[in-house]
Amino acid sequence: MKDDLSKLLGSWQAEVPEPADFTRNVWRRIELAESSRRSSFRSWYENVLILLSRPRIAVAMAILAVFAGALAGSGVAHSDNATAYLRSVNPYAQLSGVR
Amino acid sequence: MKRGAVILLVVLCLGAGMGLLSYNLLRDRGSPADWLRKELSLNEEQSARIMALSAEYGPKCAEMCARIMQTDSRLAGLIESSRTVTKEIREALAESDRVRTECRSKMLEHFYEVAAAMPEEKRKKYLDMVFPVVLNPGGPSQWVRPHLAR
Repeated sequence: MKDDLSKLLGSWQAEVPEPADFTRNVWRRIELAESSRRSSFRSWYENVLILLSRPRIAVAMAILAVFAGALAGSGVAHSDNATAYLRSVNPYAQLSGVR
Repeated sequence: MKRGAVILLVVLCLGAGMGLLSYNLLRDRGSPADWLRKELSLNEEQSARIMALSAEYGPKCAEMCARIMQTDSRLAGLIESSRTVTKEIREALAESDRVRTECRSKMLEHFYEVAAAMPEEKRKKYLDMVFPVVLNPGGPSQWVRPHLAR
């Protein structure tokens, strides 16, 4: 019974007609999707650069970058200082330095 | 467009430069205990007491580190030379656990002593910072989480 079914399934072929340009259409749609993604990133990037060309926006971004940099630098320094203290009082942490 | 790209580059350089500058200005080059004094704005007397406690604890900490290494290397040797859990391995495991527990207990003792030398309002901040080390001494908690340290 099981063998019969396997033979039957093996000999079965789908008789659904495939459109002549099916493969071509699939590739065309993939290409279109990729190029639209690329162009949307490009236009987004170009918009940012155009915005930055305006003096007020450029100054605002520079001020923001200075503050963000200072904040990030102080945060990392603070964390490193605290880590150094904790390492100095933790024998386990000192093991990694000795080994 | 080209102008925008140059400005973007300048903005990124400004941010990175400011980050490096503030890091170098705020990274403490003194001893860790000295950093603690500044961080918690301790007065001369509190600071001197904590410095003394740290100086006293330093050699103990190094000794504990050496003992952990010693028991670990003995355990590693036994594990490598055997294919079954022998009585010696069980004893070495127990000894390793005992040494580690003792280290954690001494660490906690030191933290309480340091906290006791601080004013009440600074104690909690300090203990919040050091407790993760006691709870998980060998784990990533030794890398302080910034929100705890503040």
